[in-house]
Amino acid sequence: MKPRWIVLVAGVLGVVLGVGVSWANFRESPPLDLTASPLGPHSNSSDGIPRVLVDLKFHDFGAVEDDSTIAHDFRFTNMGDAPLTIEGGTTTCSRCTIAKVERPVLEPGESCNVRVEYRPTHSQPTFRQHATVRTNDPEQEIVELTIRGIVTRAYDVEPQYLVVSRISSKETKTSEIRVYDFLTDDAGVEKCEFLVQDTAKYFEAKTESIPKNELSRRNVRSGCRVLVTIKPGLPVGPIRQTIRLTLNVAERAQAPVVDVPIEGTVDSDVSIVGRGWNSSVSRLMIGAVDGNQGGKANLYVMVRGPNRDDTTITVGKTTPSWLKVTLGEPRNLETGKESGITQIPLTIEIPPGSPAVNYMGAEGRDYARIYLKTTNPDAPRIRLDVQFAVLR
Amino acid sequence: MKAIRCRSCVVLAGAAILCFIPAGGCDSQSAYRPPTASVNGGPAHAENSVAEVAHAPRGPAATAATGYGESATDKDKPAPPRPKYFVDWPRPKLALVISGRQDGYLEPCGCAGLENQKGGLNRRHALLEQLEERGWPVTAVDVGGQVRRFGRQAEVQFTLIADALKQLGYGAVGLGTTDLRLSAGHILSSVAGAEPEDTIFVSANVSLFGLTPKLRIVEAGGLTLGITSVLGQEYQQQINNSEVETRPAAEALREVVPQLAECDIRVLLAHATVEETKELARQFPEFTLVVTADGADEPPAQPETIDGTPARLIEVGHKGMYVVVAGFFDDPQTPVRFQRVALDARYPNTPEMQQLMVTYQDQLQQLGWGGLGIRSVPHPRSKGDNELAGQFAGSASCKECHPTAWGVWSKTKHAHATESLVKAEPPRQFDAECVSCHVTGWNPQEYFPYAGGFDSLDKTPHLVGNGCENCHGPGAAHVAAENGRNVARRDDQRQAMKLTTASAEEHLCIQCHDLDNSPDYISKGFEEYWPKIEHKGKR
Repeated sequence: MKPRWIVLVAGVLGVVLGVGVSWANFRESPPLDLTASPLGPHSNSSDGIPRVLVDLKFHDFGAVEDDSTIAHDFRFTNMGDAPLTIEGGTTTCSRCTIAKVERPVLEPGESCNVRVEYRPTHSQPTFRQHATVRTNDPEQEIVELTIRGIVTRAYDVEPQYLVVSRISSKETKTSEIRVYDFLTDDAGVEKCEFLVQDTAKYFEAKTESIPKNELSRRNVRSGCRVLVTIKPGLPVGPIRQTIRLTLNVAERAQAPVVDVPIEGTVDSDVSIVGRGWNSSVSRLMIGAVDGNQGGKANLYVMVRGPNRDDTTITVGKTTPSWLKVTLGEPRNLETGKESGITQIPLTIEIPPGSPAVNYMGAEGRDYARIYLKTTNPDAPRIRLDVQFAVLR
Repeated sequence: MKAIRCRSCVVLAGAAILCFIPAGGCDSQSAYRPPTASVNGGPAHAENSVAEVAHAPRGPAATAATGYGESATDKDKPAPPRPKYFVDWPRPKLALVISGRQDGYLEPCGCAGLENQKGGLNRRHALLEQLEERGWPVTAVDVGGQVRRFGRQAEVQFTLIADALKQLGYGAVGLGTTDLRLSAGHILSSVAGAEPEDTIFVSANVSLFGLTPKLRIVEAGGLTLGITSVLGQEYQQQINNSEVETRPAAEALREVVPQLAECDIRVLLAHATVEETKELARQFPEFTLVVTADGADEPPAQPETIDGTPARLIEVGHKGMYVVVAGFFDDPQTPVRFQRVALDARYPNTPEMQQLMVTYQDQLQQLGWGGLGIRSVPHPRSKGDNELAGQFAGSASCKECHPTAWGVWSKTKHAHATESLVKAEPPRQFDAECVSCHVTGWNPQEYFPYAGGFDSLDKTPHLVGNGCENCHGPGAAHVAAENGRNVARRDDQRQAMKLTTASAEEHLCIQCHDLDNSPDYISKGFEEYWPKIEHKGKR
């Protein structure tokens, strides 16, 4: 057989076979719907079933302004051959709502918009939310719509809370609040005010512009820093103050006012840390222990400041006297910033076999008490209340 | 001839095939199938992958337990189907649960109808248990950010969460910005085990007195996981804690990454911006999974592949509402799968975590306001020479002159707000974060009392409930003026107590009815809620 005839015969055979197979397939399928988008799950139906098709279930808003309401219309189409019902469902966040279902019922071939609205807030600089739509399509009873974007604003204050963590009562500490202006080159602060009057005298604020080459945040046009100084003399304990900033930013008709809470702890150069220790009231909470087994608490005495190396600590009087209080070997810790900290393990033991006692402090009763004597001028004596009871 | 015939057959067959394909190879229009995730290839960003739904049973129970934040008041609507998780997943060699950004929400975000909210340690534990009940080897990692605020209550939360994560079997936990603002000594005492270095908290570039390990190697499901964490540059600037030592993340990782070389899976927990996290992933392509603490409030359905690396970027969302489960398989086609899990009401409380919640409230009670470092602050109306200005009288004082308004208030939930705390399980009338909106005389958003505000059920019984003075301001001076003879003062005080609905809508209601605690108010608005407490005029 000549090659050209072979190829010809083979080609005819192939076509015949292929057409035959296709005929077997297509014979059972309805005609292709050329009006349908190729996106989204669906299958053709000729058995009285609605089929929902959504153009695209995801929308990226890009950059949006905070305090605005944004919306996007998702296009729903009934690809089936029975009425399709559409009902706004629920959202994963209450700022995101199904605002409007244009038509609650779509006849076959009809389309409508489903609008999703969202109210961005600058507290969530990027957002991604889901809203659901209920349908009577048995294959897609729930359609999940996703929106996302980035929230921009005209100005920003950073941080929203100024935390100074720990400072000594003798220390002066300055921390920084930064004001960023995304629209103009003249960021400034018109006024600073400390709101908590009884400690306001220990706080001071000074403002200065941030040079452009120090503005590391994206899209910032200008910046201003507020240097908040805490002066010595605050009592030991938690710091609670708020600085109110009246800003001159972003060409606002009314100067924005922002309150920045200031938090931290004023601590002595000799302090105690550990599980169950409450520095606010100088109390260790152990709780109830079995008299046969006893109990133990592990704390640390932390020594800082200029007298750190010369500080020695010894155990003084304890009440009850049978409480076992032990100080371990001092250990110098790295901080990388300060002069260093010495950590001294402090173990308080309720020995097994201790008598039944109640030092829980209830009903006017006392706590157990431990005194530590130190050579540190900032804390020559430390009192620890210990809250426990021995049960028998 | 024989060779020619064989050649002919081959040519014949090949030609037949070539002609068959275009004529018969096209199928009818095939159903679209959503892409499946895989480590190599797969969609770069499958935002739109569709979760298969399961039909929840209809009825009140189903209405209560939904996965989509449905309002508990929408009782007429049938419960929406709830998404199924781990559809078609075979048993993985290891299920790695990835979490982070608890942000202080020990329980589901908000308290208004737990069936509407997501998150919490209870539900996280229930998920872990359910995965183990399937027979899956499970371990967990966390990118950090356990607390949100500063102060003694935040310290108590941090200690509790540290204990919980250890109890839940976490392999490694990073240290976040808000964690590191706490006292370094307290952090250390919370995270330390029997030996200071015996801790699940790790950081390559943050040091707490030189005692924090830089990495952890965990064995689970026959695999070794090498895990480290870093604190990003921008977040380091927010710490302001002189006792915490930090280094640039990349510099620290150069020392740590070689130590993870022998591990099957290498995980980077980056408490850093998305941009910085991606940059670190590109600099260190050894990592299989890179978790960021930044990103949107909800994680994407599927994690994206970081350009220029084989690694996936895992976002964890905010407020501990979601976790991401990574399943590792002996399947070259799909060696890893991901499932975003909303910690919704399908996950019940567990006895162990519920006990922690009880312990937490007990500790708050033991500490008291003083022990928590909570001190009262003079009310802003306290200025001036009137010593009663800024002092609270209690809602009962309003009844005599304003019987109608008082009558309306007494029938609302505002009047029973404190009672709802006392009846909660566990009771929460010692929790400042709850009390601040459920009593009279507290700053609702900053969790401290004004001078003369609620102290306790015993000491200030007249200040229970979210009373009149929370909106109208402290009323002691007004009551005194009404009983006095100074007409000018009486008129001034009356004016000071007046409140318009516009002002209430703009400034006041939102203080307590915020997104976390009153999502229905946020979605439905003041107009829907005002009729429930509406009162006008001086009667």
